[in-house]
Amino acid sequence: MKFSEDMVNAYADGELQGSEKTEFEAALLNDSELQHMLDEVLQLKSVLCNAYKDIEEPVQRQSPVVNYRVASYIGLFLLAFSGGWLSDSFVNSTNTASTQLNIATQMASSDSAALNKYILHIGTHDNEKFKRALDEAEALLVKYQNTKPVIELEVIANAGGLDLFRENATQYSERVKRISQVYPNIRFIACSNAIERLREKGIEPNLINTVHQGPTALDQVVMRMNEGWSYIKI
Amino acid sequence: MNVFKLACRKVALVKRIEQSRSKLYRMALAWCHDPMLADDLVQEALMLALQKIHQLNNDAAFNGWIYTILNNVWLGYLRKSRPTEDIDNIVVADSASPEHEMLMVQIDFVVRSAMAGLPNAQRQVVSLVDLDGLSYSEVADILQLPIGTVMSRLNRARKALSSSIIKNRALYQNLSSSTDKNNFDQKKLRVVK
Repeated sequence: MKFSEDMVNAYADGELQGSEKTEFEAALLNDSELQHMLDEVLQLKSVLCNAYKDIEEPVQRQSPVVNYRVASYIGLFLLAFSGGWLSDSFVNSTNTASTQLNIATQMASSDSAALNKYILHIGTHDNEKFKRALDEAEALLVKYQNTKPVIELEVIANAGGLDLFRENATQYSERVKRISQVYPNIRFIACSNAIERLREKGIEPNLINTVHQGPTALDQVVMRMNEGWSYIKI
Repeated sequence: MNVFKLACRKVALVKRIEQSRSKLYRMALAWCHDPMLADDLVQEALMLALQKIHQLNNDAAFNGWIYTILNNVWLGYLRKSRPTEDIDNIVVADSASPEHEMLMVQIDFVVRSAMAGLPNAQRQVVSLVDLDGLSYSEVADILQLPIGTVMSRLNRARKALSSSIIKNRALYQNLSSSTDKNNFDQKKLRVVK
């Protein structure tokens, strides 16, 4: 029986089963051309694996999960007992006008708001989204300003979203400053990767002075989620 | 008790997503061959995974799910950055520069260069199968292709890789022997002076 190249590949990749595999192995014993084809595929698989196996990320970061494990377990228990966090801690703020400013309302009726801690994430340069992020943040702060526990809110920006936190990059610079001054329990955080990318392009980020430089946006979001915070994607 | 189990599962999933970072980075680099871009793609994919965590109903499907997200982010990037090109045919590197040739001092560079020269459609299939050992059906699900297409792309990719690796190795060997000869000539000149 003549085996196709696809069959040789399939055997090398462990995809042949049952009789197909048995027949292939029987043919291998006496067919030097087939052996040669298989050797070539196996060698190629091996050199491909080796070429990429030692690759590491450009920046090795300390995993925030380890540092915050204890806090996450405490959060887990609180949330498990409150009955929340299971379906409501991830909220996607969509683009439609009808859903604008409704995060606060959603959260008000949700048990996941038990901790009263929210992280808003913005990752694209979009004036409409910038406005919505600030509107959502203010709506949450106003709604929960007198509730216990005290609301904590972080707005994190990466990639194109970083422009929201740069002096004179958008029309919202003054509003970001004002919100920082009026509400002590909000933190604006800039992703370190996004800052680094700008500097690599020779652009100084020139962050608004009330904005904090954090770790990467991903690290911050994972850390907060492990602590039980609610994640809101703008 | 169910509530507690679900909460534990969610914590475990968040951790698993975070722990996928290295392998996703390796895959993204194999696809785009740009370390900074690979890092950005992985960040974006992981953010989306965290956002869509509730959509993963079967933990056993985690690998396929997370690679599907990475693939969507990659295709989205290609569509945005090269809107007029056919995504399947996009190659990501030109290995013709002398600097690049000098870099190919090891087989790894030769292999990565050959990968970079593959059309995107082939590069994605061969990297998913060979770098992470995914089955043909998993790859078919991730890339939304029939299994037959996965197999034919894999075969074409491997043939192209083999011939490119052989060609580039020969090129390097010639380059390296001519460099040795130049060094030798320079040494002789120094002695004469």
